[in-house]
Amino acid sequence: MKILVSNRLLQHLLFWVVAFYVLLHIFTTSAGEMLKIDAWYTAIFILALVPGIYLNLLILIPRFLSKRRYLTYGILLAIMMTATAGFNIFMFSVLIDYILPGYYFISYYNFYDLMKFVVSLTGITTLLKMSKGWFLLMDTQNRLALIEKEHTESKLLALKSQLNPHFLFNSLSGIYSMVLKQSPDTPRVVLRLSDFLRYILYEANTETVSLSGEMAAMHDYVELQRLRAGPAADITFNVSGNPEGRFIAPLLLLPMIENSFKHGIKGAVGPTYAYFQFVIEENDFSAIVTNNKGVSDEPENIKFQGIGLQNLRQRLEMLYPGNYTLVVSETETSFTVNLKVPLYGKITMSGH
Amino acid sequence: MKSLHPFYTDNNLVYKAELTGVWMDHDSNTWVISRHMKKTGLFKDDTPDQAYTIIFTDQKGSSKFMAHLFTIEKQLYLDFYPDEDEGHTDLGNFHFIPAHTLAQVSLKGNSIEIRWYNEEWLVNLFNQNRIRIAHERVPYDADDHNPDNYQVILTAPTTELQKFILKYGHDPEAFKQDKNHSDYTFVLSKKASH
Repeated sequence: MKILVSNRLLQHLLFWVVAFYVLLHIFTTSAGEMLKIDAWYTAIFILALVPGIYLNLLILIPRFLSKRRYLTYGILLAIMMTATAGFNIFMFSVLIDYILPGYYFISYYNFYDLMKFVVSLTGITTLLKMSKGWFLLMDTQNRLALIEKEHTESKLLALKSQLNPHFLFNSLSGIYSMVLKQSPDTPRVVLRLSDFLRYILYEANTETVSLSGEMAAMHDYVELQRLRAGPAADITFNVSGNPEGRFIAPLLLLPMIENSFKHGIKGAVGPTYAYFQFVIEENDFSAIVTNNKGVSDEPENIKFQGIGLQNLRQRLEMLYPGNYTLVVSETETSFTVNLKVPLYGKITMSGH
Repeated sequence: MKSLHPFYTDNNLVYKAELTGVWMDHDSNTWVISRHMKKTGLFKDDTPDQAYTIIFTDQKGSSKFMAHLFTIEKQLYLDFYPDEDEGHTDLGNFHFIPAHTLAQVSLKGNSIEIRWYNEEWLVNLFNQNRIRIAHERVPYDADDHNPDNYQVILTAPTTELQKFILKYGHDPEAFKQDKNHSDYTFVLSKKASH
């Protein structure tokens, strides 16, 4: 059923199969017996109507009816229906002898009878298209509502990140240590924290953000986390491809990166690592986050790790329905999250 | 080929006086063709109709038909229809469904060529599913239930019958011209004017 709803070709095929079945019963010439010749006639009768029907569905409705040009649509529809009925007569008076030589057909219906068939089929197909359009409208409205909800949630997420006391406390503790040591890197780290907080507070509240801004903020976040992890942790952050002029939903990567520090680096007892690999292609963006598995003494952490990814999947489903991949894989020692989403130009998520 | 509906309409009926008279075919059967008179009422004279009365007599007896001459694309055709008043009792007539038959006609001075519709060819087309026209298949004999032996009765309306004649009447198989004067072709010679 789901395939039928999503597959347009299958819908059209089903419609014509039903139309064939109904018309075959109408066109049966011998009482109680459906002859092969009647099936041929029905198939060719439908074929003679198909160009007119699709002219209406693919050109007249989108160009005139949908744009409320009712008079033009009415005139062109009348011309189309007249031509279709005429073509049907021509088909069975002349063309049929070339298509099926050795078979004997005539045009059984006069023009007015054929017009009844053409008007009925055009009416049914137009109503089906309009009702389908109505369902699509409802679907779009629902999706817009979900996107709006998601947008609110992402703002909330940003606020949560902003107010995350552990993150702020740890970052400030790190900076405090650097100040005590009179580290020359201190101003740079303070600037990173400042940039990251500015991004979260003022820039990540829109439907889409520039990929370069998002990547820079994530890099700041990773560098700030590196302070806390210490020099023993092997942390890499690589970006390949040009992020300029590309846009993405805000803070999509933050849960993945946060998880790797929370559940990987933090919980490790031995050598610890987190690798962040980002690939920007012509139309897609991929993020591969690999970290060691932490030995967490808090079972709740594992549970929340699952919730974090589940939330991410829900967001992706709303933002890129059916158009993303999120693969989580793990071995005994490592945990990898692989995300792939399409990239857009400068448009809003609801507008694509 | 029998049809429940006539092959002609009032619009393409013609009347040719030269068709009337006494004619003899190649088997020495007589054809008496006269103008059909339309019954107008008990106390009124019958009026001439756009039709013919044909009395066919062979060794077995006589049969009476009402015939209509009509043209489709300049070709003359005769629609034969049996006179149900003849040869049956009242109970017999009650069970009798008259049918129209079709023949192509050529008038050549003192002779007429009547070419019957090639029923065998048409039945073959039906058997091979190569012709589409409303019809029913019924047994010739009530005891014979072999579909291969069924006769075909056209049930299509006159408009469809005429479209078929118009489109396929020129098919050489439809009205077979048989030099040997078989069952399909009759050549009548005039013996006397009516």
